[in-house]
Amino acid sequence: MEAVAISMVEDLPRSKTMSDQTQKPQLSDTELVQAGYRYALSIVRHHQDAEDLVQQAWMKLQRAYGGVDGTPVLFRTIRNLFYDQKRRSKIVQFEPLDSTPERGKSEATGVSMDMELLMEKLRPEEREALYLNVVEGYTASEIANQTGSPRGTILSHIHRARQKLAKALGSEFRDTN
Amino acid sequence: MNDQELDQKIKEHFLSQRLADEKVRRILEQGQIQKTRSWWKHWVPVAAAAAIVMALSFQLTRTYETDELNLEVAGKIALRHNTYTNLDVEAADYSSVQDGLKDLAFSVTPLVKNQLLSAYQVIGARYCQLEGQQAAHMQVRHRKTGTLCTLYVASLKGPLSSFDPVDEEIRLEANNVQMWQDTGRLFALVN
Repeated sequence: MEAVAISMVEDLPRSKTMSDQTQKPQLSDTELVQAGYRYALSIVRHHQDAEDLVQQAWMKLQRAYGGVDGTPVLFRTIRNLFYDQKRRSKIVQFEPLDSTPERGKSEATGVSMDMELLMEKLRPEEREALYLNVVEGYTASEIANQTGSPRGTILSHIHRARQKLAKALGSEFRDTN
Repeated sequence: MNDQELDQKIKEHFLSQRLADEKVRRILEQGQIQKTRSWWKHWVPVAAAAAIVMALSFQLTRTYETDELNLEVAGKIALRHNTYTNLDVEAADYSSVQDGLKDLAFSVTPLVKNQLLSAYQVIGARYCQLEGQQAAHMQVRHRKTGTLCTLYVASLKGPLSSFDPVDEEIRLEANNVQMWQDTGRLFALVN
């Protein structure tokens, strides 16, 4: 059952390939920062940490290359910074499953707090994979390439994240396959 | 809720997460400052490599030119040693040479390598010129072997002011020329 669902995730029509990513119009710097912020938020879930991460990554890329060439390199830099800092224990540990979101700190507009709370139930790697797949349109292979995790693990993260969310939202996770 | 609806909800949630415009503007401004500050960093390795290449080229050229000049001067002194045997004055020591070659503007008495030169007996000397500069061509004899040799002294002024001989022995086809510097003078022993 899970294997079927996993293969479905990979073949979803919404998933765009990396070449699609490069073909679509270049994002403006503002859009890149916002995308980087959302990605950072999918990893850390703390708005201030996410803001710090995207800021550090942006400056690092500007310093090194004089610009930011698309979301893949920005996401990878954010990810590397996060894990570097995590290794040095200078950033928050992964929060426990029952932690609460930073109420009042969110700058979201029209965000469902239910969804915010539900996202807290996901493991960081599940949120990251889900974000890259559903929002950014990366395939599991591309996410595996981006994160250095096996493709099967990524498929599993996406499937479990969707399953948890669907169940939490009061509906059965329904295979479309 | 089907997959599409779930995806839509996930998308809406993530896309609703936005940094305030003011914060985005600040990040972009700071990035621009970093970019402006660090544009030259890309050229640092290139500039360093170019500087190293230039320094090496300069050093190699300088070494080559020095070697060439040493060889040229040694060749000229050896030529005088082999060509001229007539002496202007006969003398048994350096002070006698100095007395005999009154027009010399420099001393012929060596201050260094006395141990080496003590093995030679001064016989006489003649006026000479090296690169248009006044010089003294002294004839000396090896005390043990009796070999006639040349002790050549020239002032390192004028055209030879840029000549900076290192203490070395140059082996030519017919002669060995040992050159060194002694208080602003060039000394060369040819045998």
